[in-house]
Amino acid sequence: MGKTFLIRQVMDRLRADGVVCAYFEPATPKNLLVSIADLVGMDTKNLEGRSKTVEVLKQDLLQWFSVNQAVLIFDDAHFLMAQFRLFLKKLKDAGVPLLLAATSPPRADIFLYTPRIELQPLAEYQIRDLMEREAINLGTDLKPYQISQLQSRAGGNPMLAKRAIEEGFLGIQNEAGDHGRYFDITPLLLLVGIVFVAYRFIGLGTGNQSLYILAGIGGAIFLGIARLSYYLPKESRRIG
Amino acid sequence: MLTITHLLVGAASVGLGLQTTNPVPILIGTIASLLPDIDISTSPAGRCLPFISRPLESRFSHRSATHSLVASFTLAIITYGLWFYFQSIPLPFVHAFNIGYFAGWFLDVFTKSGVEMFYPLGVRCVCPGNRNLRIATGSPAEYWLITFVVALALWTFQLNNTGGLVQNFNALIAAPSGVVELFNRHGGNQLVYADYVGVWSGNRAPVTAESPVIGTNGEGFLVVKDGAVVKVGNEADSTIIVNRITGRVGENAITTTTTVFLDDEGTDQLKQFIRPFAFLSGSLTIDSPQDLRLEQSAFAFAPIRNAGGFLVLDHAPIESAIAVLSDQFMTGSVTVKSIEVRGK
Repeated sequence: MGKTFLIRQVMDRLRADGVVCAYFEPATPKNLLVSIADLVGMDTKNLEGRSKTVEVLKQDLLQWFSVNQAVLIFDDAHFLMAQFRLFLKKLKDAGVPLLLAATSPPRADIFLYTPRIELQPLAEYQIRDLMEREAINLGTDLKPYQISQLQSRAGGNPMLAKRAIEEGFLGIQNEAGDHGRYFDITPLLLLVGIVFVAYRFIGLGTGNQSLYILAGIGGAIFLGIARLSYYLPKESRRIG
Repeated sequence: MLTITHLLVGAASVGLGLQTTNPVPILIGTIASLLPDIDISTSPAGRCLPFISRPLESRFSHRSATHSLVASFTLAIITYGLWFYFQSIPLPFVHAFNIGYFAGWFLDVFTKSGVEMFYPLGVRCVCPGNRNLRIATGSPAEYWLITFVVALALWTFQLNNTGGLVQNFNALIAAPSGVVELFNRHGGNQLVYADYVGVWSGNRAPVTAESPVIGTNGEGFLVVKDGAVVKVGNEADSTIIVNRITGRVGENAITTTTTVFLDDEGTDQLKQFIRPFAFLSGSLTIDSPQDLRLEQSAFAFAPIRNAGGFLVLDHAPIESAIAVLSDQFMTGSVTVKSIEVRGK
């Protein structure tokens, strides 16, 4: 279950219970304010027929929420602009129920201010189940070994699991995944170097000259490789 | 990774790890290197063992449970347990299996998708971190890797065929410790020759020779050169001070040691041990030490030394020792070391 799926489920349940709630995706602060105003049935134009300014809309919304209740749900909230996030903080202070879904949000403002639930990666069997259902939905005849290979790209993320099935369906060859569960073990080379250095001391202590030299050379090679690895180009944050 | 890459890495890693050219453990390691890919039914291991691969592929993602330290550890417990229970399984075969299996999955760390090394944690271990620098299956980079592994395997087998990494390294640095190690390893059943370049300590005349090693003395060796026992090394009491010394294993030879106890006796008991390569070591008390005529030469080690009231023998050739001690009555014990050459 991903964050989008979760908040949509929450929204459906709230609506079924008769709670006024609305779902928003990232947009400009003005557009978001206008959308919220539309939702609550507030006029977005002033007496002269002009659109209200951002500040006026904020004041009006705060006033409206001080006497009315509605649940505001924001998906991909990490893309919301800081100015709007500060307004959300004011809404929260005014007692407005907020539900924000974000991926790796900054440790600041509204994200620190609201209680947090962290979604853990799905278990392997859940991802497999999801992928098999997605494959059936797409009408593909992906074999278990193909799904097994595609599953390695999901990293417990249901969205990526579905995407992997789509890629498999389209026959796209793409070995690496886009999930964040990769762990670079290059620094472990340092450990190998340390083992060699330890052997060097054993050679020194036991008077074994060849062990001393051989372990010294091995240690120098591995520590050198570990040092060189720091200069390898870092991965681009862009795709491709 | 391609099957050929796994096979080559399995063979090279067993060769490096076990320092062997024996084809059986190398073959075991090579086959074991294919086993981690049993988690998909289209791999060679999966095709051979479909009853294992099908349940695995329907449950686990590729390169997860079977490509982990847990899998290696579990297999190690099973295989070493079997070896412990059935002692008939040669231990190098068990080592080869485990090395091959580990190398088989660890190789995939360098692929774009990585491996779940710390399964069941779920993180995929990769090296290096930049995916663009990792190897895609069947890519040109993999063929470069194959070329490198072939070279590594050939170098490993060549090294192992000539005594292994350490022995070759010892030959390269030509230090006495290398010959010590060779002598300790092979001296029990083979004659070990020291090939040295140095100078006589007496007159600093250069010397280059190859002589059989009969024992160690301090950090040097005692060798037989032109019928005399000579100490070769870098210590102050060395007869030949060496600049370079390497060892080689020669003919098969059996070394036997016998301890002889003497109680105010002559040399009769020792005469039965006279052979070309028989030496006496130990300490003896003699009646008339003042009558001894011990040769002191700058070109030979002093295997018999008068230490006041008693004699100290260190690899003294038996015939010359008997000649020196022929008129004496001795008390004490000596060890007779006899090296019998049995040919190649």
